Amino acid sequence: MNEREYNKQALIDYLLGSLPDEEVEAFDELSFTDENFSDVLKAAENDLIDAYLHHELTDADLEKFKTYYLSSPLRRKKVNFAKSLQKFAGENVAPYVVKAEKIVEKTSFWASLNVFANPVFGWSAAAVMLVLIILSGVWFSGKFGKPETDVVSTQETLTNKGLSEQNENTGAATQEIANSENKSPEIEKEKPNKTPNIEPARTPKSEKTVVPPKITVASFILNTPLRGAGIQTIKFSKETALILMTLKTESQDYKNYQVALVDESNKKIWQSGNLKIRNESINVSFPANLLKPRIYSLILSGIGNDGDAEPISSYSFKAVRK
Amino acid sequence: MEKGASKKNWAITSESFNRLLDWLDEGENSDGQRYLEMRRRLVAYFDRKNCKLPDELADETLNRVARRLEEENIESETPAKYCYIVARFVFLESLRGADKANVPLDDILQKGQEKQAQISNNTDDERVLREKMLDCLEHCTGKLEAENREIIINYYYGEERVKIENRRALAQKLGISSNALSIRACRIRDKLEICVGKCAKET
Repeated sequence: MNEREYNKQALIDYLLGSLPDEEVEAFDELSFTDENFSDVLKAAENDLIDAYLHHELTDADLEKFKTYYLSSPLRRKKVNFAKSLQKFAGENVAPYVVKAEKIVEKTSFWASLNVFANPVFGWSAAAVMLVLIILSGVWFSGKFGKPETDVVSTQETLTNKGLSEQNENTGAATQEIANSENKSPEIEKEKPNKTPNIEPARTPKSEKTVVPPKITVASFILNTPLRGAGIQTIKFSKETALILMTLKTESQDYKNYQVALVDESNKKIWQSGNLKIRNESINVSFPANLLKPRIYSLILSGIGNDGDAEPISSYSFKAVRK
Repeated sequence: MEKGASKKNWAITSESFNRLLDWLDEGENSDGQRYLEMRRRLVAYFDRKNCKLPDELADETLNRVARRLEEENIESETPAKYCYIVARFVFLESLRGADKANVPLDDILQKGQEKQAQISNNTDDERVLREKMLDCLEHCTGKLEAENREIIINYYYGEERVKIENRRALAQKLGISSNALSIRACRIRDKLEICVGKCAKET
């Protein structure tokens, strides 16, 4: 097939009725006589419609699209079809193509905090952290011998606070407890005690303390998927009750977001309620017992003004229960 | 006078229609696909010209070509070029037509804005229509070959970078260029659009 290149903006101007007359006539004839041009024109029109639906048009083109392009019933039908097709694609996407996208494998703890983005700030932050560590050491050494229930209580408080916040959200839970520890694909090297286990520490039997409920949470960070990277593997223990995922995203276009957990056959297993982006990431948690040793994807969608979920990113991972 | 009268009364027969199909095929049997594609191009042409009835004008163009073929063999131009020439005449006639098939530019702009406002306001109707379209898409994509289904779903998935990366991965997987993928996706989309249009009318 002859794949001549045509000026993209000229095609857009042609479709939006703003090309000079003499060029219009040339394009009119080509649309009949040149197979390649006809194909390219059709593709350009589809791209124009898709760009409109994704709010990617320039102001000038958008104005022309609304006033000129949408004036035709046939073209409005095309736009409606395109809208439905996009929604359908979002609901039926095959994960394995998205799996081909690269997932950034390693992000250090500090990088995830973006501490060293500004070197001056980074070193200052490091100094502050060092002071805090020293002070903490002094404080804890002073507290040596005190029953561990205080630590337990703190953890329990954190848990309960997290759970109540969780319940406030529509639909399923989100939780502010986050283990910022990096989760690289080599999760098997991760020590079990690094997961934020909210299990209570040993308490002396003589003390009358309320044993907080055992809730084991395993948390992971999934970065914005990029082409070429392998699938991230997450490993968690049999006792894990809750999986907390922190999804990194650059999206800021929506007020609310939703996350859906789908399996390899695109079957939706779980759906979150409305969520918010915080610090370029979104936290979502779901019961660990939903996961079998399989590949899953978390589909992040923005909620448009019309209430429709518009897919943004897909984060694939392999679940392994230890 | 007689010639004019006979032109007006002329109606396409199955014989003249088959002659038209053969002429469009230029020796290769396309099972009517060339005819359908030519009709599509004609409709798109008249629609771009903001003609009120692009389907009818497309049919009028093809009728005139078929009638001309009955009178003589057209060898001066290729079928595509000849259809374009006839379409231009039909378009110019429609501009001069008493029924004012075309819409003046100011009206176009006005209509566009009104329709845009209507689209925003008729959210319930839109929702019902979209549900119907989604059902029809499910039905029509189910009729596609597995590879084509994969292409059409994955090609239109995602936004911005996700979409670009997806398309790149898809082109690589299929072993074709991005341009070729774009055109292939476009062709599948066209077929789907026709299928969905029919399906939506029937339901």
